[in-house]
Amino acid sequence: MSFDEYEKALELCTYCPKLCRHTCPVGNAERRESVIPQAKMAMANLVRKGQVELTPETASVFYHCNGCGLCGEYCEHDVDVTPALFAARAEAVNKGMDPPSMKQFTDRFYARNDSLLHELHHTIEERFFVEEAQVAYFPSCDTIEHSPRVLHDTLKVLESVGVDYVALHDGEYVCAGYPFWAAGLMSELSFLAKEIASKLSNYKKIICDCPACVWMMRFLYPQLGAPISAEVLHVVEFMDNYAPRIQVSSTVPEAFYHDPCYLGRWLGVFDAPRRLMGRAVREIHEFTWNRERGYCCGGGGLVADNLPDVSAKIAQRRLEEVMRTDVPMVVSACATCERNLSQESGNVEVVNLMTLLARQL
Amino acid sequence: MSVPQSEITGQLAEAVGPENLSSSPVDTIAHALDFWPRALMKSRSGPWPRGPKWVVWPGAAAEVAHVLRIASAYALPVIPYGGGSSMVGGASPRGDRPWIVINCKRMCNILDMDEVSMVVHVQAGIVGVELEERLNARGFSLGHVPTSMTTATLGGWLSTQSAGMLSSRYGRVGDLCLGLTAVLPDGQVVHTRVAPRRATGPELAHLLIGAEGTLGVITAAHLRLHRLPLHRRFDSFCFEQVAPAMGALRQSLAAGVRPLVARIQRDPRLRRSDREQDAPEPTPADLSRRVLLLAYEGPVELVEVEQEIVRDLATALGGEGLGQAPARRWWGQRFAAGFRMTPLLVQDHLFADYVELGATWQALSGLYDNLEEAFEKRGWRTRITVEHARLEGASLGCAFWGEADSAEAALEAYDEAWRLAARVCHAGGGGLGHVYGGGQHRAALLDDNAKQRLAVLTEVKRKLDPAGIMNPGILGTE
Amino acid sequence: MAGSVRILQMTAPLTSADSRLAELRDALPDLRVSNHVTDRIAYARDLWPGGQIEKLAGKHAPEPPACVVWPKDSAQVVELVQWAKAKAGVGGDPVVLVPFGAGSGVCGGTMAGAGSVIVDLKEMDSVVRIEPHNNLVRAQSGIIGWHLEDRLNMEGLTLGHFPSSLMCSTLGGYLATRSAGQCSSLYGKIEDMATTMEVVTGTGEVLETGRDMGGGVGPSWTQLFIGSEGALGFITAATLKVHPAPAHRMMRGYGFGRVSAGCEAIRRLMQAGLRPAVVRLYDEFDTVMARSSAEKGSEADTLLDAISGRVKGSGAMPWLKRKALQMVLTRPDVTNRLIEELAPRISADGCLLVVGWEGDKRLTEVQARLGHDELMRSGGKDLGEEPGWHWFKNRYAVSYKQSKLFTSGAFVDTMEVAATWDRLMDLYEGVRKAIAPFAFVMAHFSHAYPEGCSIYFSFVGPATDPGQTRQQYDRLWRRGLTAATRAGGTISHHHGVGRSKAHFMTEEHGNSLRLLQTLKATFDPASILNPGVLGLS
Ligand SMILES: Cc1cc2nc3c(=O)[nH]c(=O)nc-3n(C[C@H](O)[C@H](O)[C@H](O)COP(=O)(O)OP(=O)(O)OC[C@H]3O[C@@H](n4cnc5c(N)ncnc54)[C@H](O)[C@@H]3O)c2cc1C
Ligand SMILES: Cc1cc2nc3c(=O)[nH]c(=O)nc-3n(C[C@H](O)[C@H](O)[C@H](O)COP(=O)(O)OP(=O)(O)OC[C@H]3O[C@@H](n4cnc5c(N)ncnc54)[C@H](O)[C@@H]3O)c2cc1C
Ligand code: SF4
Ligand code: SF4
Repeated sequence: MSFDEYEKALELCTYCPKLCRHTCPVGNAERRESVIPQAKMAMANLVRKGQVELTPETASVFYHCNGCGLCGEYCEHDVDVTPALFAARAEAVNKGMDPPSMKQFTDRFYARNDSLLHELHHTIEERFFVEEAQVAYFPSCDTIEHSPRVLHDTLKVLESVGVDYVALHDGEYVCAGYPFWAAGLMSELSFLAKEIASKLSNYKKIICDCPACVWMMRFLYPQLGAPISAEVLHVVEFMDNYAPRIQVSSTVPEAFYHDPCYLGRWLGVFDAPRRLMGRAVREIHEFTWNRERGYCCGGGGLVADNLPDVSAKIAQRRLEEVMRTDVPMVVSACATCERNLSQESGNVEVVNLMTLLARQL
Repeated sequence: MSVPQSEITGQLAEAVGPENLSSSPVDTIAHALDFWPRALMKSRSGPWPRGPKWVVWPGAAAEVAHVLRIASAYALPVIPYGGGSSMVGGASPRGDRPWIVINCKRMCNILDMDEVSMVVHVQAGIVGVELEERLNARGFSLGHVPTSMTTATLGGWLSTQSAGMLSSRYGRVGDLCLGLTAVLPDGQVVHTRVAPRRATGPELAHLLIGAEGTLGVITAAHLRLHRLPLHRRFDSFCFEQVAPAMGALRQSLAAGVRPLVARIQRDPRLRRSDREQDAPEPTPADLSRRVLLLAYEGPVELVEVEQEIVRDLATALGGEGLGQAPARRWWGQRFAAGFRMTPLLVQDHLFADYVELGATWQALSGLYDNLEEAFEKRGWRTRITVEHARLEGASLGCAFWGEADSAEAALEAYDEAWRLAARVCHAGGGGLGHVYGGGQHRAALLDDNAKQRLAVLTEVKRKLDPAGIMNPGILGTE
Repeated sequence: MAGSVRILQMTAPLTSADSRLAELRDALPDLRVSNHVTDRIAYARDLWPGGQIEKLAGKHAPEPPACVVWPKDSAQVVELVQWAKAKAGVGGDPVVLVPFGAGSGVCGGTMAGAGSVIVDLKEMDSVVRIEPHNNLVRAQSGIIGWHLEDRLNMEGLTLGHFPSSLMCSTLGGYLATRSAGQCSSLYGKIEDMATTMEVVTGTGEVLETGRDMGGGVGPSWTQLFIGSEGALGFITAATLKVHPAPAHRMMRGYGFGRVSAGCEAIRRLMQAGLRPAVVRLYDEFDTVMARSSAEKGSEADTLLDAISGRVKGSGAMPWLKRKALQMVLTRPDVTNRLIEELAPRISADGCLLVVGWEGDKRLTEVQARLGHDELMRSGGKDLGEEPGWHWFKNRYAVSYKQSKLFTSGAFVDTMEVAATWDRLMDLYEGVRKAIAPFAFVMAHFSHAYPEGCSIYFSFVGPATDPGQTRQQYDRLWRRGLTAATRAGGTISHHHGVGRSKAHFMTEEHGNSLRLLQTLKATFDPASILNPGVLGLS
């Protein structure tokens, strides 16, 4: 995964007439040529070739990416921008040229992890943490921090369909390490991945409410030498089998469904959440940019942390279409989306799919 | 100002040849008025206005250039004159200055005809009907047919961005113009060449199109032609009100139908001449009824489909099909409207004119009603026609006339009518001067945005015409 | 901090930039501004291929702008102009303001040189209002074309403007360059769509150029600002005609033995009073390219397949292919001749003409039928729907060819000229011959009108030796444009003039250029707006 491996992609972007620029949530929010996919890739390429010096300043644009992958959907060269830019971030980190905002990132990561772990045990009764379950629920950081009730709700829905063999994973980590990847801290990530993989391999199946965690464990961990033998599923994928069994007592008339980037584009899960949602919502509204072309909420790639204003603008843009209607609700299946969209949603409720189902039971 | 007039006369004679120069009253009187009703009304009781000092008939751009250089040297005001059919005082002298009128009509030749590209290169002094007939003889048509077809010239059309009765299909005359030759005030002859839809800066012909002779004299143009149609079809629909008629027309245009003619007017069956002898007097319902008249041309299968689409839309909005007769009859009399106003102007105490305003569809029906109501409240008569329809809107042609106690009162009423029209128009989001241009008359009546646009014209004019010789006083210029 | 970054080939001193930034911050504290080094690099170039060639030589931003500003409304644009005007009055280092859309221009239109102030208009990118009943939309100029079309689609409408750069260009850019989209024969070029615009001129005046329903008294300032390439004013908003999204679409391909026969067929089609949405005729070689664009192989593969008579299956020798590509590119003259010889064999069906119809179902069907008859009468061979839909599905794909070619040691560019029908073949032959010694040329005819048509030449040349490449490239353009004007054609149908074609403005316009100079003197007396484009100083 060294930087040079992306040579071909970087070169193609350098000479590309900016063909995917209209997709990039960050580019659209900032209206700045230097942060459209083509320009970020070109800058990475110039740095790679030594034509521009790598400095915290030049490296800064690598961090203007949500890692949403939308640009790739419009790239006929099959360029995958996210990993290339994350590799560029790693390069900056390795050369000590990461921007100031990234300093002490590791410390902050673990501090947050520990406090959220504490939080988790505080909110969830101990009886739900079981050592030897067949299916482990790996709770994720954003869920604990921003939507702790999703944990209860998920358990509640599972219970309602008669699944009683899921237990919360009682581990030391509440994050599969996506932030490390996005920060370019590859050695930290490898270390963490191995730790987590060794713990989770005891289970047969792992379900997780964070699509990014699922993607990391399923696809990136093996590349980091930390394969997980257990099957890793997003809650929605798991629950899909039980969809017919979900008995709601009432339904809501209408809501939009927002495809989380990692659940949709990255994991390819589009229909399951819609099927589940269909249990509780009479009319599902689709965004113009949906499914493979779902538009990001602005929460990924550490953009929300590093560039909160940009992230908020992205959320705003995502919700514009909803705001033009009277539809009062947007449903998602990712706590990060929920958090990020909520800040701009005004009277529109942004709700996690699990919460919605639990509420309508 | 003392102008050495004989000296100028001599120089002008040199420029165009003595036979093409005149200061004779026969000619100056004939060029004293155009067809601006206000000036015509004034002349009924007042003195016949002072005409120009000189009328010249140059035969080519070089001669025009020569004349303009003379005018520049002596700072003499110049009017480029086509057919003098201007309804806004654009072609008639104003004030006491010694005017030179450049009558363009000697420049009336077809210079070249490219039948492959269907482009004609023609001099600007040619009278509309003559051009059309000569084109027809070769199987082509320009597709520009204003009511003043028989008097107006190509140069006048271009200078006023004229709109004809086929504008829904072929656009305004500027849309047909692919390039033009003009003489600038200092005598330079410039030519914008024909190159289909180039992207080499702004389309510069547009500086002269619509400039009403304030920036130079147009001497020739390249125009896009089309083949004379093999088929022409007519259709008519009757609606209880004007609004659904507008709706049907709007929807048809949005669907991609390109009617040759599309106009909404009063039910022609109410016209006295067309009514049965013993028919009862029209009821209010009869009077609010409106008829949509349509003509189509082109390949017959296509025309049939267009007709079908319009028929469906019209019927859905409550339109009753009247068949082809009313539209065909209108077509047969399409130039008649041009003759209707004169009788209203010959008597001292009468006044009449034609308000033409453009507006988007949404503004249109409100404007229609308000205009009709405002005029009728004053006891003035109106006949409003919806014409020049296109995708985003149409124009209202509002013929009005009335009676006053005296010649002076008639003039006052006339001015009041225009002020009223302007008020109604601006309040309803319409644009005045949509078809006939601004001339001496409309500029002062325009809304602020339009006035600002004319102020810009004045700025450009200062650069091209520092001596201010070209048609000063037109379009708010000095 | 900016000064600490070392950029190869960046010659302009960074200090002056910093002073300009400080001045701006001082004068207009509310204006968003940046001189971040990444911005100065990213805004240094548009997509002029001559610049791409320089990039191959490592010159990424030889003349970077001093800074970039993002006005958020026209009031801020006015302030900016006033500031620049005041500076111009004082003398010293003149301020140059460069209206910037998305930098997808291909003629150096935004490359105003070191120290210029780039005015990025994309903060002004909202759809102000949609009036379905008037078939109008009002939008700010900084909106990306795709986003505008998207928004209209949501209301069941379309603008009908589909340049290949729809995803990477702005409304303001279209208006400023008289852009044309793929469906221009039905919906028109951008100049047919705009009814009025708001502009901020170089005098600091805000002018609404016309009325929502176009037309009115006096010259059309709308038409005079369309195509002004940022030299007369900032276009800040525009009202455009929109149409119901097409209910029906039909596509079909036809073959013509010779390109001239195909042209003749288009002429007759356009003069028959029909309005196809798409008309594209590929010359012998472009036909091969057009038909193979879906296969995801490299450009070089297609090219070589074509040359070797499309021998499929023999492609297992990449080395040979690479060698052959080199040959092709180093001797474009030979290759061109070879293709001429081979052309009839390359495409058995002859030159491909793609025709598309769209809109109301009934109108579409009847026109397609009439058009079909007309084309068959003109000697066309019916190739069925497949080639038509093939084009439709890949209609944006061609833009992706660029980077592949640049990264494989070639340069690629396009020249879009136009003429009336009587001169079209002369134009085609003339330009082809002029370019052929330098690059491998192909062409298609699109954007047809009753009176004429445009020709879109694409050419690929060798870019192995950077210094020499630029020279050859410049020579190619000089010869090509000379040939175009000699044949009575125009130097640009829809890309504009920018800086790269500026020295041809006299050939193009003759003495009517004076009218343009008058407009410049009127609207930008202080010469602060994008000097250099359109040959204006
Ligand atoms: C009965 C009647 C019906 C009409 N119907 C219509 C109609 O249907 N549609 C419509 O658009 N108009 C109509 N008009 C108005 C008038 O006919 C048009 O404005 C027409 O374009 C004027 O042409 P003209 O040759 O008579 O020009 P003139 O009246 O001679 O001049 C009009 C203006 O153009 C300028 N001008 C004329 N020739 C040149 C030139 N060669 N170079 C530069 N400037 C020049 C003049 O200086 C003047 O300002 C009508 C007028 C009448 C009287
Ligand atoms: C791959 C590719 C395909 C293309 N295909 C087409 C095509 O099919 N049809 C076509 O017409 N063009 C095409 N182009 C050319 C280009 O996209 C157009 O010229 C486009 O209009 C430029 O828009 P922009 O917003 O990127 O403008 P920019 O490149 O930013 O600017 C272009 C010029 O316009 C001026 N300008 C920009 N915005 C404004 C404004 N608001 N006010 C005043 N001046 C302004 C600039 O100063 C500059 O001179 C293509 C380009 C590429 C790279
Ligand atoms: S990702 Fe693809 S489309 Fe986007 S800039 Fe790179 S090469 Fe172009
Ligand atoms: S992955 Fe998303 S945020 Fe990143 S460059 Fe692509 S579109 Fe932009």
